[in-house]
Amino acid sequence: MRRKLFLYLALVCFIGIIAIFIADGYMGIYDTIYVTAGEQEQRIGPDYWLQRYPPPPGAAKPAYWMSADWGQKVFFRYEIDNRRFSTYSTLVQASVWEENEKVLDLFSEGKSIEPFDKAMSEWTLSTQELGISVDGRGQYTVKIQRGEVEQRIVVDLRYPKEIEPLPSPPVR
Amino acid sequence: MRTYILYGFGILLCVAGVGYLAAEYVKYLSEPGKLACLILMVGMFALFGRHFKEIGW
Repeated sequence: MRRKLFLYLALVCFIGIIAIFIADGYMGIYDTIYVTAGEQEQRIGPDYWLQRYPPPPGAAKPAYWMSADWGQKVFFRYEIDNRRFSTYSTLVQASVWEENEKVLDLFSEGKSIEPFDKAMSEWTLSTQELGISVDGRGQYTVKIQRGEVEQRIVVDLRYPKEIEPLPSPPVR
Repeated sequence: MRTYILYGFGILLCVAGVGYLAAEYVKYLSEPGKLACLILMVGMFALFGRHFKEIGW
């Protein structure tokens, strides 16, 4: 028994590490945002925000930057993953802001998610509802709020330029 | 000899699996969780060392 005592203690340490990984790492509430502008879907996973929060003192709140053409629709899918043993209830809100002023509300819905289940919310941002400056650009912040958690996506709008037709190949 | 190769292969797979899971989940740990894991890992290796010393390696 004495011979194997240290081996058992090492095993206990290993089990402790695994327990911390499960309890502290896996468990919790995680959200993933999928944004589709044009034909490109972008996934903003929970690790994106985990790496940026909390921001350094004096620094701006972290945001995800993306661009879109004015006139096209931007599709959002917001997935909440409840990795807890209890039901999670929250209010999900999405709104568009410009210079700290709310421009329009996109989505608002209460969610109740069963333990170890996921919930999906979807909404669409029609960029034609947003103004654009004379130089053909505009920046808006889409704020997604889940309870006290706020995630910000900055949408850089640009006015699509007229596409000139390709020159025809020279005739030989 | 073939048995030892299989043992080695199994151990390698275990280490790779644990390493992959650790790399995947360590980013979701809180700072106290990371510290506790570090302390437990140091303790684990120290106890392994003591165990091998006890059995005469």
